[in-house]
Amino acid sequence: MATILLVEDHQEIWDFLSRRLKRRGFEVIVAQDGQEGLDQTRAKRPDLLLLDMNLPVMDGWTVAQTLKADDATKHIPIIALTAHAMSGDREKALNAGCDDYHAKPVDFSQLLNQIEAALTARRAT
Amino acid sequence: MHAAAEINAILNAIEIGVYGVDAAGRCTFINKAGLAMLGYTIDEVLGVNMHALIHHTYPDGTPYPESACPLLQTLETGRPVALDTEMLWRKDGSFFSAEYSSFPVFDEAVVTGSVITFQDTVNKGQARKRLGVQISVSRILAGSSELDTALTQVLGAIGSALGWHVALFWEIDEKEGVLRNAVAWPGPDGLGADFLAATADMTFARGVGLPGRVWQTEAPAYISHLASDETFLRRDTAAQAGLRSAFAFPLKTGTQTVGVMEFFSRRWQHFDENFLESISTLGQQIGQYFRRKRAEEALRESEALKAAILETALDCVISITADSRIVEWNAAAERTFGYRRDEVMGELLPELIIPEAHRARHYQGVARFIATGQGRLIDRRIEIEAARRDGTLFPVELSITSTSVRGAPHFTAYVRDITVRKGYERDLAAAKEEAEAANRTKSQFIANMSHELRTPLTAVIGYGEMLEEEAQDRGLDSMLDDLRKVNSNARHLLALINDVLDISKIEAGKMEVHLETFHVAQLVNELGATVEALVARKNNKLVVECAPDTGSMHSDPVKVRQCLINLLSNAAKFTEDGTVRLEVTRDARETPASVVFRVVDTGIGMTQEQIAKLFQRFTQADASTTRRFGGTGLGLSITKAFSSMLGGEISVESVAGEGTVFELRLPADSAAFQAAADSANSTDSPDASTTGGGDNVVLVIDDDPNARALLSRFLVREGFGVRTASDGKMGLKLARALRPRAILLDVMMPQMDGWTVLSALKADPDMADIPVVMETIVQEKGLAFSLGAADYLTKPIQWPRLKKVLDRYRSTTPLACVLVVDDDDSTRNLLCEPLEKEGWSVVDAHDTDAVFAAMQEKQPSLVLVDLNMSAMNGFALIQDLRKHAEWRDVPVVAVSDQDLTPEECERLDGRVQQIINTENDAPEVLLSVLRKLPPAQPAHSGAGDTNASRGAHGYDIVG
Repeated sequence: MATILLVEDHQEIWDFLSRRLKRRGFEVIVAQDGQEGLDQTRAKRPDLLLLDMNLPVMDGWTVAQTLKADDATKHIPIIALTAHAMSGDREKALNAGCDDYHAKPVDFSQLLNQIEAALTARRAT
Repeated sequence: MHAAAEINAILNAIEIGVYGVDAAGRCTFINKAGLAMLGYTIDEVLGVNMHALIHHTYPDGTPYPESACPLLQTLETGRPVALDTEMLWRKDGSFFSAEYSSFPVFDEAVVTGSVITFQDTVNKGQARKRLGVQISVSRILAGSSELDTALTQVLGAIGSALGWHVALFWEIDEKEGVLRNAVAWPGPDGLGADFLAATADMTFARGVGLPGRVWQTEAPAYISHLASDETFLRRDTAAQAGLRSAFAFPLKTGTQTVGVMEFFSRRWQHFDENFLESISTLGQQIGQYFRRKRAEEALRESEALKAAILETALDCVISITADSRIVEWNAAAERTFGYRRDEVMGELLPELIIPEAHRARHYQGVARFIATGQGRLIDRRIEIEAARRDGTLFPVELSITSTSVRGAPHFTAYVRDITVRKGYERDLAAAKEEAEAANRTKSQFIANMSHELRTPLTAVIGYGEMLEEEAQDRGLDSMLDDLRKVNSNARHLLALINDVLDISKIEAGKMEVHLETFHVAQLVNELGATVEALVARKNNKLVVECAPDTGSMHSDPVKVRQCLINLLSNAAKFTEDGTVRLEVTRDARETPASVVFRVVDTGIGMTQEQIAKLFQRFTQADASTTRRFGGTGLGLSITKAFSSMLGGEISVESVAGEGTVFELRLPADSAAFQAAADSANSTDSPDASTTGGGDNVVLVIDDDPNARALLSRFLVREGFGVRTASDGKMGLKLARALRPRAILLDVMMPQMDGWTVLSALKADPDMADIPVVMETIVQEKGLAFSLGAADYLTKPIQWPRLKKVLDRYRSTTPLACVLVVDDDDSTRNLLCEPLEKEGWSVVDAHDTDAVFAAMQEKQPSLVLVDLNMSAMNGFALIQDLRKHAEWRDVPVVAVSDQDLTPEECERLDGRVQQIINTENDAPEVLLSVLRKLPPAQPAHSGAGDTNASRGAHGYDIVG
């Protein structure tokens, strides 16, 4: 089963999100700040990242840029998770290198669809 | 004694009155003829001051002081004096006109008295009498008296010389078309006062009564026996005053009657032809005088009025000559600049009030105007800096007009100190900036708040859903129901927050459209599945009918979905045990095609009042609706905003108690709509051609492509040319390039809003005079006016009002063009000036070549030819003009300062419209001829255009 790295500083969110993803059969690793997310990605090579944008230590945009600039990690799909629903957030996330975008609050079934789509696309390449 | 007796006998025998006075003017002797003429006995006269007795009053009734009597000067100077037509008074109060002479009596070179002779001039031939009248009238008219005084004196002089007792002057009241009593003479004895009082308020129409008859016939008339004349209306009053005869004569200038003088006598008078003829001459003389005086009075009055206006004007009025010397400086200028009028008259204006940095430009501007007639600042309103006496600079609003004074250009500036207004404008701008900042803060606050709300909500929904799943897994059905309620309310809360966020995005102009191509049927089916549960909640049935040909559309599916969910949940909310129907069709009748979504419910419906408020933010049908049905009241206004972002529109029909139909009509391809919106930007280049309208170009500045299209269509239909700009920057560029007749300016625009554009327009001297009509909300009309807008309109635009506003800015049709032909500069100017003042466009020509050149260039509506030219023969010119068939329809008016001979009249017969005598005819006659001309014809190019112009006019030949 696919491994998902959830980079999220908000404890309640990573808690329920990771539990719900596990219930669906995903392996879930949690990182609580941007730097940890970067390190975990390099160390564990997850199949997909769910990346919050407002993170301590290193923000999500920088994480995405760094990973996409690295040949070793650039193939890993990233879905941005953000509560910034103002215009421009979507573009900002995609420009930073994210493959998809999901606005909080999480619509779980939609998020599952997005994860499935990203993994399928990843496998296709 | 013998000698003395002999002298007495001689004195008593002669017909001339003779008396003697001592050095004090007291009577020492008088002969019989003298006593008879005066009606006294010898005892009543001897020792009495003769001046006081018989020479005490002027003909007009004013006292004649002894000191003013030339006769008595004999006593001092020792020289004889002879007077004619002096009034001498009889004992019975009557008077007569006499020749009156005084001869000094010497005793050893000392004057001890004088001998005076007098003779009633009435007895001395009519001709001499009339001559006497003529002379005294001339003397009065040559004097410097006011008009009314002079006319009273004239009445008195004529009346007393000819032995009449009451006189009136009737002036023509042009407005009412009647004769009105202007001045009167109550007779030397004042006995006519009662008669005058009784007739003072009477008026006579043309042909009515004696004065009216004289006015009509323009000839003198008389009535020998008033009592027996039926046409004499004042018979009774006259009889009471003892008046028996009357005569009246017209005052004329040339052929025009300007008034009537009327005289009454207590005696029966006889009239002969010679008398009437000489009185006619007098009538001409007085008439000319009257008209001149009236003109002078009018001029003085208008001068006084002008002076009063200048002095009370709130704006500074400053006039300068071509070399910038001050010739007018009113009180406001004194107050504003701190210089007194007497200090600045004749001084150089720029050195006083123009800041040094601008002085050179002033002189250049004046020089350019004199050289080319072109002035950048002439006849428009600009804002500029000026200097006070103490050197402080301050902002002024300025408009300058140029006039020609005796051929030399003069400039008059109207200057207004706008220091205070500028302060207000700054305050306003600051207040506006503050308000905008506050609005930005509000939007930012809402964005932040919604973000902060979402984060915990994310957790609530997340845990809630997870618990729901677990409860399901473990079969905890009692808990499951409660958890669902928690989740459903959390979702509802989320929807509310999203709505608020959407609205704040829409308001901040940050809502974006993401176009995708998708299948309409697929979207509709998904949607049906999503809302089915929602609709079913109140036991409603959802029916989805999607036509098979709906195909695909290129639009923002997220927004389309949101619109439809809003409409469907709205329908479901207000319907119970009914049906909510979604009908989807494709309308390909129009290009581009549109997709039409109809949401039909069988719910509670709405009244017209409720419909009117429907799309307003935070407004539901009424307050009770909110309590019963919940919701933020934002759904419909979001739906409306989205649909217009996608180029579509939404409409509603409803019957209270029966149900509601919402129709959402969206273009199948919103890209075409967006492209149209964008292309408006790219095609708006200043050199692009204009849509019709000629001079009447209106510039529309509006970021909304629909508004631009609507306004353009309306304006073109109204005959205006239209240019559009989709943003403020482009608008300013176009305004500068086009100088449109008017600008329609939207307030709500991204980047540069309407207020900024308006301020920029008004700050630019080249564009400040273009009237700007703001499209704004009523509350801000004050701001619009204070920033210089000419008018305002509220959206949605009410077309009749727009038309009314714009009609004011249509170019006005110029009056007809007149060609004035005269080789004498001053006469030509005299002819041109009143025409130009009336708004005629005037072309002048001083020789034959110029006349023909002018006729070729632009065929005038009328040609005015002076017949008294020295270098050019007016008669020949008119004949030459008439040889050109293409000009035959152009009317010619001949002017002359003298009467034409019959031969001359014949030469002009059939060739001219009218002959005007400039001496006799008032200037109004010329203007009245011109006013009969039809409005300006399109400019004919002269030759080859004959058919177009022939028969275009239908004049009466009045010449």
